[in-house]
Amino acid sequence: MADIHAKSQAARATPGFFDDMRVMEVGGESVDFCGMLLAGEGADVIKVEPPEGSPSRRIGPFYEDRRDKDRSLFFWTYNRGKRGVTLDLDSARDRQRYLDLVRTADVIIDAQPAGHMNAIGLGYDAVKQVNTGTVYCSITPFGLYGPWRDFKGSDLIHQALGGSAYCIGYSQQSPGQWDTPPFMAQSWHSYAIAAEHAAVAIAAAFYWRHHPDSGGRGQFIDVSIHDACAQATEGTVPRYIYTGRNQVRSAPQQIRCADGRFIALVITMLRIANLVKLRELLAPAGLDKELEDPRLCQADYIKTPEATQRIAATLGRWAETKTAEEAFHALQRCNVVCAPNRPPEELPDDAQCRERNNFVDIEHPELGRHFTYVRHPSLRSEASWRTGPRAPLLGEHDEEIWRQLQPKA
Amino acid sequence: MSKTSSERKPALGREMGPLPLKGVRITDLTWALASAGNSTLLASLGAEVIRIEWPERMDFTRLSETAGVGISSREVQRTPLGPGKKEIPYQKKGAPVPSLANRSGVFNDRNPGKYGITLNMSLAEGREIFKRLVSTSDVVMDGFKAPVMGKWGLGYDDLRSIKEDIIYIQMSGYGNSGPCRDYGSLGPTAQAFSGLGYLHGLPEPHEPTSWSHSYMDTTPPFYGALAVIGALHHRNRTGRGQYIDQAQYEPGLFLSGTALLDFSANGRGSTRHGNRSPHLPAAPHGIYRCAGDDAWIAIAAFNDAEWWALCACMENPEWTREALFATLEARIANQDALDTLVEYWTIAQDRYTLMYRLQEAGVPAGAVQSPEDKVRTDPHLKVRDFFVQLDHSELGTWPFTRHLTPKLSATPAHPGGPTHRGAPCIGEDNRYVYEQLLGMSAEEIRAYEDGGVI
Repeated sequence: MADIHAKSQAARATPGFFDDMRVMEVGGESVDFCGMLLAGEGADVIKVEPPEGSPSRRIGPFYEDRRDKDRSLFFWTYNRGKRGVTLDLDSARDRQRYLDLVRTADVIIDAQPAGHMNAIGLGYDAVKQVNTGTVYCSITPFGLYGPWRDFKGSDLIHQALGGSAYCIGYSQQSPGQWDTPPFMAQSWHSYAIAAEHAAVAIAAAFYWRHHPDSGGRGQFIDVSIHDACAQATEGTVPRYIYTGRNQVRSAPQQIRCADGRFIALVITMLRIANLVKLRELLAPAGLDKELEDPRLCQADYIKTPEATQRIAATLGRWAETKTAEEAFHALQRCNVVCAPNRPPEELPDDAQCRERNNFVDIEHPELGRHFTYVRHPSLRSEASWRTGPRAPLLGEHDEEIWRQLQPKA
Repeated sequence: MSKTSSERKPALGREMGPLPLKGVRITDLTWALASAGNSTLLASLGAEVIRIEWPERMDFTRLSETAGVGISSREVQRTPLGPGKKEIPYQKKGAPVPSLANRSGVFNDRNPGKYGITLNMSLAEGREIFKRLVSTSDVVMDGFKAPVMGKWGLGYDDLRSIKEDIIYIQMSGYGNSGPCRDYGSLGPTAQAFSGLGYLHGLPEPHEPTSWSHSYMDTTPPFYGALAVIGALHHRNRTGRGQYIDQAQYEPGLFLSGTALLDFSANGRGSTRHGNRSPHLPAAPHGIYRCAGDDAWIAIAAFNDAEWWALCACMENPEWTREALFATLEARIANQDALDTLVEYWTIAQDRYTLMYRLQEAGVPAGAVQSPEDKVRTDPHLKVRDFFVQLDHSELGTWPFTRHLTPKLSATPAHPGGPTHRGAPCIGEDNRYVYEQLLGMSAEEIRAYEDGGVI
């Protein structure tokens, strides 16, 4: 099993899971991530853009801070592995071309505003006329029905209404009193969350289409970013349903190390049996005495907030002389569940990430440079994730795609 | 009898249509949330998931947030929740008094649609039974620390010798390689390790904050489910199985936005931006205090039209005409002052009333909703059947959140999966699995029970 890395390397030329799937995607910033997930799994993803380029080409930051349609790092991040084609869907000729392309597509991801594609005669009704096998996935801020259907969404608005912001922030000053607001999670999580739901639904519909009972038919999928975000708050909703308690927003349990970095800790999972090892670790610093309270050996006490705060405070004093990296490994060896809290750009140098080959350099030939991207969400023995090529330049594949569409002579 | 089944269907929120993964069988050794969530998604799509448990090494989520203990008649358990159900019985009539392990709300919500059996994997005889299950399965999944299955002689190569085209997905904390292979991992630490926790909250010198729930427990299941469906499709086409080794932190690497490229291409390190919108110009762009305890509203204006609409809602106070706020660039440059003035306006208002007013005027706005708000207030989630009523054999009927939220027109996902039920009680399906699937006789089953094997 250890040779999965070697296999994974060798398998780069082998087909991805969905190398028989063609996807068309059209729309703004909420369409990109879903297409990227399917491209990674091997699909031929064609991004349909208006002649002036997709709206997500206008989201920063930009390469060398120069605002340009081919320099958006947002666009690069979420559109690698795809081909791009420009179509002016206001023109009859290009609408016909869109339908010509639809004939060859297994999946359409439509993140245009609700009803827009129908209004220009390219919605699901038109699509299923030319291709009954199409899986048509609509991604909109609030889905295609419901009282908030016409609300405006954004990453911030979705994190507020979906409930994750309620659970992100600093601790209260006194019960019920906060002097800081709830915070959104930076970096476009609401679009990622909706994309994850959409990709699994699309994969299931595509799988079903190959089932003998499906008659080879596609189907329509309605993705609401709000619904998906409302689901992404882990146990907080069932906890309320079963106990009537709302999650209380609080800063994470973390200790600051000598290098200024924090370590996140989950002390509630500490077992009494681990205390012995932990005391050994703390002994050289003379801090082991603080964990000698016999009450810590009581199963109900060790999980109380008082006990976990005491343990965290002791570990915090111990960590003052350790780097986050040292503290992480030493505490894990004592079965304390913890991890260093680092900026993402430090991860390519991390030993675990290096060993798992988590990052890859992708070439940007027109710039003569390579840049670092994430390689895969998991390792596979037979069909590895497809990592590149870099995101298409505007109109890069126009000719190639229309040439492919010509009937073979 | 037919009356009973037709009455049950609507109450249990069963949509019309086949489930797309029907006929797929999964032997499930997942755990807690990040791995168990994967088999939950696949069950809601129709896979027959057989979850293996052993009472002496109980999934810790079985012992958290127990329903009906202590002040059991909390108002929330007595009043309508979600669509279609007038009352939620605290305990099903005639059912045995639930044991503590069968009353966990979190376990129930996170594991519906699965079959549950007891099997002692630490005994050789238990592992032999496990192998029989594997031989009838399409997929095996586990959520142990990476070395566990190998130590039992049940690594991928062993599983493949039992069933050549088996799909095995291992969902450990750090993956099955590297210096951290043996380490423990939970949502909050996976959030930190993957670089996500660093990005939220106020800039230095303030500490980073993070989700106070385990976001990295809800996210990895989607990546795992996508990989499993993909591997099934790949197997159907090629006849070949698959080994998938997914670390809990790895999906998180995809979720830090442009941080990695901004460093790689521009040499710029990550900073925190509070509630601002650093990469898509907008101002105001924040979360503002409203009337009431812990009541907040998010408001954003990405262009002049949205700003003017906001000004109109505020009844165009004098300050909105100052040069400080005349253009989007100016508003961004003066966001501190702008935020104070906007909050001065929101602070005495009801967050929902304000949200409707702003949205009506074309300003992106949304109340910050708590879990309670989502369950009780949010009219949109209600209309979209976000909550589904399901039966639990001992706890009775409860509302469940949909794990897979998209609406599929021909093969809708159903949270109750093939069992049409909430989470299994411990060993609830021993008879079905051991008798019907594995063909054991009553004597065999009794002998295994007496021997502490099942």
